[in-house]
Amino acid sequence: MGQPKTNNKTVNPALAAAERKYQRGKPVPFKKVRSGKLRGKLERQEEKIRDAVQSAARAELLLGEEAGFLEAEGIEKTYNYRQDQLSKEVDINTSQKIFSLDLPDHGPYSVDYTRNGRHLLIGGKTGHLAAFDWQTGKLHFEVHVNELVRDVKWLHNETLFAAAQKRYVYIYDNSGLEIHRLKSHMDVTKLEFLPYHYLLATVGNAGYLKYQDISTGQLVTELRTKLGSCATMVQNPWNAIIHLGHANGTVSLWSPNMSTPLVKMQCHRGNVQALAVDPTGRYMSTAGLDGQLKVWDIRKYEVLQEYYTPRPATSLSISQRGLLGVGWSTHVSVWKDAFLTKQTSPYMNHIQPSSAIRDIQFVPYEDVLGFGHAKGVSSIVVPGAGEPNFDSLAANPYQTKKQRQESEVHSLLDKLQPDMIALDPTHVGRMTRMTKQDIMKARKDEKEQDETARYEKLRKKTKKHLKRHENVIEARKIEISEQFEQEKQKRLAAKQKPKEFTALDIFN
Amino acid sequence: MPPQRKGKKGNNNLPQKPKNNKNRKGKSVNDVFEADDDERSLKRKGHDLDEVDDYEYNAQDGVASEDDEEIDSDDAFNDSDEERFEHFKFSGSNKDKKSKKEEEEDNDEFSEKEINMDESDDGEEQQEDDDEEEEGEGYMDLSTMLEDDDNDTLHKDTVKALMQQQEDDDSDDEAIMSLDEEEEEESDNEDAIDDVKFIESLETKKRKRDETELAKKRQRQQERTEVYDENEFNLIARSSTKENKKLDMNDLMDTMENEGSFTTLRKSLLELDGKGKNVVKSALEAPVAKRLQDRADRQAAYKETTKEVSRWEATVNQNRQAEHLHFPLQNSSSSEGAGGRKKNITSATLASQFSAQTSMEQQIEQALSAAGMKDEELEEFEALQLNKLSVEEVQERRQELQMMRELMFRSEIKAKRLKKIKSKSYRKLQRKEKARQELQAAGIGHEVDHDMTADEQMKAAMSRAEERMTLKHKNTSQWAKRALARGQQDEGTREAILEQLRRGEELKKKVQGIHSDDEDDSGSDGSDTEDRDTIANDIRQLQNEMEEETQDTQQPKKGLLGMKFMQEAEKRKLAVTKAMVDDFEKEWLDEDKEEENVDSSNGKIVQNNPGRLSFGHVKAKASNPPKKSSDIQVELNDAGQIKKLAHSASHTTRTSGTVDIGKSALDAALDTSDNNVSPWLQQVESRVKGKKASKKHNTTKGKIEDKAELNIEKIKKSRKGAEEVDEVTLDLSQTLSKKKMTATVVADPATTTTTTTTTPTTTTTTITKETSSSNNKKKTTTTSVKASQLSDDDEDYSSDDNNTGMIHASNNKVAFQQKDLVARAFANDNVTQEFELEKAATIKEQGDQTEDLTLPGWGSWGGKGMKKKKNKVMKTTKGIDPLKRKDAKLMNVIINEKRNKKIEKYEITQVPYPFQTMEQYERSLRAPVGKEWNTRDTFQKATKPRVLTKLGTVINPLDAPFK
Repeated sequence: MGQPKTNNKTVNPALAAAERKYQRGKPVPFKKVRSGKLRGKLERQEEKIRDAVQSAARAELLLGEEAGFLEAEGIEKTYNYRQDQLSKEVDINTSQKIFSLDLPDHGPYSVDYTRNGRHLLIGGKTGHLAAFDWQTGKLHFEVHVNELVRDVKWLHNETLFAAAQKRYVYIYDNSGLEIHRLKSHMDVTKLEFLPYHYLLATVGNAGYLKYQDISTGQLVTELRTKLGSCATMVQNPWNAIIHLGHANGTVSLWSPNMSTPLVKMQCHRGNVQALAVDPTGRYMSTAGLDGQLKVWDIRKYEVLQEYYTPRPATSLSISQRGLLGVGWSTHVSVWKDAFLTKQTSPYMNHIQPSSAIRDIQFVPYEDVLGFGHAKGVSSIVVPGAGEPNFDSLAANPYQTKKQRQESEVHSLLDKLQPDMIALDPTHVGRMTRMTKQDIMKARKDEKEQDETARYEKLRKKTKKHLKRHENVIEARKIEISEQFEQEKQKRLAAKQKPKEFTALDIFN
Repeated sequence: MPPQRKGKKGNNNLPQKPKNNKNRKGKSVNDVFEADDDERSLKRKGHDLDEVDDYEYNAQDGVASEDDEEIDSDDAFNDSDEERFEHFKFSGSNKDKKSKKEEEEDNDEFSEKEINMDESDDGEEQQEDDDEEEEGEGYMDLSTMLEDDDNDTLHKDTVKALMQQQEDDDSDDEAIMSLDEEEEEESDNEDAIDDVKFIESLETKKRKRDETELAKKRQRQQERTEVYDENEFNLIARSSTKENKKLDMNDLMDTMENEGSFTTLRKSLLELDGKGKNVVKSALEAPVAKRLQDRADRQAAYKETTKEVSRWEATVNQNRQAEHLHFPLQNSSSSEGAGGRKKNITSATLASQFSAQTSMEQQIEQALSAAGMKDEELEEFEALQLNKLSVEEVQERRQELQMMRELMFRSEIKAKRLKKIKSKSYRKLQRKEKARQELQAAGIGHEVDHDMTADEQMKAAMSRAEERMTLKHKNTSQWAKRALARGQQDEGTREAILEQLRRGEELKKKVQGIHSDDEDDSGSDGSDTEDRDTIANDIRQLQNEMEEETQDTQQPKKGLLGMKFMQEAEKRKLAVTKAMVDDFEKEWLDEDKEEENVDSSNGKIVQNNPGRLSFGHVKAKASNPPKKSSDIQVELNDAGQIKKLAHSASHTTRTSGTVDIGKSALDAALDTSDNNVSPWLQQVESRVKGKKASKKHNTTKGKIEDKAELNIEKIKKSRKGAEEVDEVTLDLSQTLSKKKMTATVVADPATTTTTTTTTPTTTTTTITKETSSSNNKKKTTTTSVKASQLSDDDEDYSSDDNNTGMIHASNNKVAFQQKDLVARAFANDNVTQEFELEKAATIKEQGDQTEDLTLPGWGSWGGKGMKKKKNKVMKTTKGIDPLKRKDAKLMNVIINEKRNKKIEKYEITQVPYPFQTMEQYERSLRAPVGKEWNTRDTFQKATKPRVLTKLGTVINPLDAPFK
C-alpha cells in the first residue's frame, strides 16, 4: 500500500537504520483515495518523502567522524583517569584543550559557549567579563564592570552577549562595549537565550520571568512566577520552553504565551539547585539542595533515575551525545548513559582543588567540558561528549566572518514568533480538536472577562492617579538621587583606572 | 344604404368584423331583435332561417343544395341555441349559467321590454344609423357579393325564387327583408310580420304609406345578417354532431364536395387536414421564438466545439498534472515536462529496428540467412506450405486443433474439480492408486534397476508393518468398531478386544521405552556433573582470589585505609566472606551428594530443575505465603545490586512507625557486619557468589526466591492501602545502588560492607527470606532489622578519590546521620502537602464552575425564621474533568489545561483542500522542505518551481496533438 518501497537491495544495516532515523511518521495509504487529483498528489508526496529519506540516509556516509568513549581494561575504571594522565595519551590538539585559567581575584566565574562551541564568555562575580576564541586563544575583549555579575550569556552569535549585573541586564558587543541597558530586567540572576526566537529570557530575585526580543527590542512578556526568588533557569532546546527551578523544590515550565506555568513538578524537597535538559528535549536532570540528582522523562513527567550527590550539585549540563555533567562542591563528575539505565559509577571525575564549581557547560562539537569555579575557569577533556559531525547550517565551528553575517541574516529571516512556543512545537499548522464555533465562543467569553477585568483595572488606576497628585517632595528622594549620582561618578572613575594584570592577558 | 357602396367594401368584410363586434357587444343587452330571436327560433325552428341560411351559404360558396338544408335543420337548433347562450354575455348580469327555464323567463321579460324599445327607438335612431353605417360594411357584403357575382347564374335564380316565395307570402316587408337577411334577420322578419298584421287590422288605407315608413325603419334593422353577433369567435359549426364543436375545415368543405373546380383546393386542404395522399401532418408551424432558436443554435454549436476541444483534453490534463513544466516544451520523446511520459521500449520495437552492426551480429545474420531461418523467409515458407494444402485438408487440420483444444480444456476443468475434493477416503484411494502405479512402473523397470525396487519394496513393507502396529491394537479395526458399537458383547469378543488393547499397550511401551530411558539418563547425568565441576572450579578461583586479597591487605596502605581500625574491619570482613564461601562450597557439593540418597517418594521435583527436590511443606508454603512479612522491598539482581526497592516508589513513600535512628540502628548495622547472626545476610552473600559460581543452579534458586518475594510484594500491595500511617515521611528512594559484584567483589572491602548494609536501607522492616539449609528444607523466617541509610561524609570526596561518591553508601556512619538530618530538615517543610493543596486548588479552578445567579435578598423575606430560597438559579460552566486531566495519574505534577489562545492562529479547524483526512494533511506537513533537513538534491527538487522558462527562446503555443 502506502508503505514506502524500501529498496530490497539495501541490505546494508547501517543504511537501513539511517533510513529509519529519517522516517518521520508512517506513510498514509493513498490507493483507496477516490479523488484522482488527491491520489496523485499523495502518491507524489510519498515518493518525495521516500526519496528524501533515502538520500538523507545515503548522505550519512559523509559523516566521517566517529565518536568514541574512554574505555577501561580489566580492573581499570574510567573514572579513575585524571586529566593529566589523559593529556599524555591524547593527541596534541586535544591536550591543548585541557587548560585552566587562574583568576583568583574575581571568581567564581560563570561561563558560556557559543552555539558553535568556538567562543567562550566568562563572567566573574565581581565584574570581570572576558570573551575569547578558546581554541586559538584569541582574546576578544576583557572588561571589568566593577559591579556584581551574576550571569553571562552569548546571544545569537559571538558579536553580542548579555550580562546580568547587579541591577540591570546589559548587552555588550564583542569588543566589550555596552550597547544596551535593559532597564526592565531588574535584579536578574539567570539568563537564557532562545536562538530561534531571538528571545532573551531572564529571571531574578523578584521572581519574574521576562522575555525580551533582541531583534526588535521589545519586551515580549513578563510572567510572574509567584514562587519567589529564582536562580535556576534552563531552556529546553527542542521546544524553547523555559524551565525554572524554585526554592520549594518545584520545577516549572514556561512559555511566553501563558501567564501560568505549563507544567509544575515537585522534583525535590529542597531548593532546586541546578537543571539541565538534553538536546533532544526528552530528558531533564535536576539537582536539589537535598542532595538528590534526578533524571526525568519530561514527556511523561516521570522520574527515571535517582542519583545522589554527596554535596548538593551546583551546576548540571548535558552534552550533545547525552553525557551528564554534574558540578558539585569542587568536583565535576560526568555520567554516561545515565538516563535510561541506572549507572553504578560515573564515567569521569575531576576535582578542582579547593575551588568550588560554579557553572559547567559542555562545549558543542567538542569533547570538552568547560567550567567556571571560584578561582577561575577550566576546561577538561571528556571523550565522547560532543557531536563529532557538525552541521554547518545549524552551527559551524569554522565559520568565517562572511558566513557568520550570512547566517545571521538567514536566522533573522527564519525567526520564529514567540507565539509559536508551546510544549509540543509540532502543533503549528496542525488541526485543532476544537471546532471553529468552540473557538469563537471561547474567544467571546474571554473578551467579556477582559472587559470586566479592565473595568477593575481602571478603578485601580484612579487610585494611583490620586496618589500621584499628592505632589510631595520627599527629603529621602533627594538623598537617594544624590547618592546615585555619586555612585555613578565612582564607577566612571573606576573604569578609567588602568587594569590589573590577569591570566587572560597572556592571550594578548 | 346604397348597395354600391356596400359592394365595394364587401370583400373587405372579414377584417372589419372585430370592430363591429365590439359595438355589438355593447348593445346586445338591449337588442330587441336578438331577444325575440331567441323566442322565435324556439317556436319556428328556423323554417325561415334555414332558407336564409341556405341562401346565405349558397350565396357564399355557390352551393345550393337541399342536403344542406337538412343537415342544418338537424343541428342548427340545439347548437345555435346553446351556443348563443354560451357566447353572449349580458353585460351587467351574470346569468349565463342560468337554467334554460330561467332564460326563457328572461326572454319574456325582454319581449316586454321590446315594446318600450320600439317606442324609444326614435331617440336612438341617429346613433344606430351611425353605427349601422359602419356595420353595414360588414353586413351587407354578402348580398352585394351575390349581386356582384354575375358569373353564377344559379345564385341569381335561387335568389329570385326566394323572393318570389316571400312575395307570395303577402308581406312586402318580409320580402324586402328576406332579400338581404341572414339568419338573424329571421326574427326581425317575424317582428315585421306581426307589425304588419297589426297595421293591416287597423287600417288598410294608410297601409301603403305606413309600409314605406316601416320599410325604411326595417331597412335599418335589416342590416343584421346573422342570427347572432358575427365575429371571429362566433363561427359555429353546424355540421358537427358533437357539442361545442368549433368550426373546422369540414364544415367549410362539405358544401363544395361536388364542385369540380375546387378539387385541387380540396386536395390541398385535405392534405392540410391530414387525410390526403401527400399527408402533411400539420400546417407549417409558426417559427420558434428567436430566443429559443438561438439557444438551440448555441447548444448545437457547443456540442461541436466540445468535440473539438475534448481532443485537447489529454494534453491539457497532462500539463496540468505535471509537477514541473519546462518551456519551451521539448519534444515528446524527451518530455519530462509533459508529465514525464516516457517512450515505451518493447522487445518488438527493438527487434523491428534491429540491424546487425558488429561483426558477430553480421556473422550470425549471415548464417541464419544461409540456413533460410530468417524471419521473413520462415513466414514465406509457411505461407507457401499453406498454399499447397487443399481446402479439405485445412479444414481437417483445423478440426483436429479444435479437438485438441477442447480436450485440453476439459481435462483442465476436470483437474480443477478433482483438486477441490475434500473426501479423505477419496484421497486415500488416490494415494494408493499412485503408489500402485509407481510400483508398476518399478516392476516394468525391474530388470533395469534391481536395487532400487528392493529398496522400495522394503519401504512398502515397513509402512505396512507400521500401519499394522499402530492400528491393529487400538480398536480401530472395523471388526472392533463394530463390536464396540454393538455394545453387548459376549465373553469371547470382549476378551478379544481387551487382549488387543493389552497387546497394543505392550507394544507401545516397548516402542517408547527403549528411547526415552536412554536419553533421559545420559542427559541429566552429564549436565549435573558438568555443573558440579564448574561450581567447584569457581569456588576454587574465588578462594584463590581471596587469598590474594589477604596478602594485599597485609601490605601497608596510605590514608584512611591505612588506619588500623580500617584494616581490622577489612580482615573481619574477609573472614566473613571466606566463611561464606566455605559454607557455600559445602552446601553445594554436599547437596549433590545427598541428592542421590534421597528417595524420590519423599520429595518433589523443584520446578524446572529435575536435579533438585524439595520436601515437606513446600506445597503448603506456596499456598500460604508468609503473612507476617510486611515491608520488605529489597531485591537483589544478579550483580548484587539493589534492583528494586518496592518501598521507594518516590520520596513521599511513608513508612509505618517512627524512624528509629541512633543507637539501635547502629547496633543493627554493626551486628550485621560483625557476626553472621543473620542467616539472611549470609544468604545474600552466598547467593551473590553462588550466582557467579554456577549460573544453572542459581537460576533455579533465584526463581524460587523470586517467587517468594513476589508473594510478599503482593501482600504488601494489598496492605499498602490500609497502612496509611505516617508520622514521618522519609525519603528512601535515595537508596544506594551498589557496585557490580564482579569477581573482585571480595577484594573490595567497601563493597562487601555495602552488601551487608543493604538491610539498613529500609526502616523497621520485616524481612522474609528463604534459607536453603543443608537438609534442603525451605524455611521462612522473619527477622526485623532496624536500620537506616548510610551515606557519605564530608571527607568522602576530598580524601577518597576512588570513591565516586554518588552511588556508594560508605561504611561511614556519620554520613547516615547527615543524610537523615537532611530528611529531618525538610520534614518540617511540608512542601509536598503544599504542592498537593495547590494541585487540588488548580483542579478545582479548572474544573466545573457553578455560580449562583440568584440575587441575594430578592423576592424573599428577611429576618428571623427566614427560609432558605428553594429555586436558586445556578450557572455551571464546564471545565475539565479531574479524572481526565493529564496529570490525573501523576502525583507530583500539575499540568496546565488552559487553552493557549495565541497558538490558535497557527492551527487550523478544517482540513484544507485537496486533503480529505487529517492524516493526509499532517503527513504533508511532516516532511520538511528546508535545506537544513534535506540533502541538497532533495531540497532543490522540492523547491523547484512548477514552470521553468528558458530565457531568450520563443515559447510557441501548444501543438495540436491530433494533427
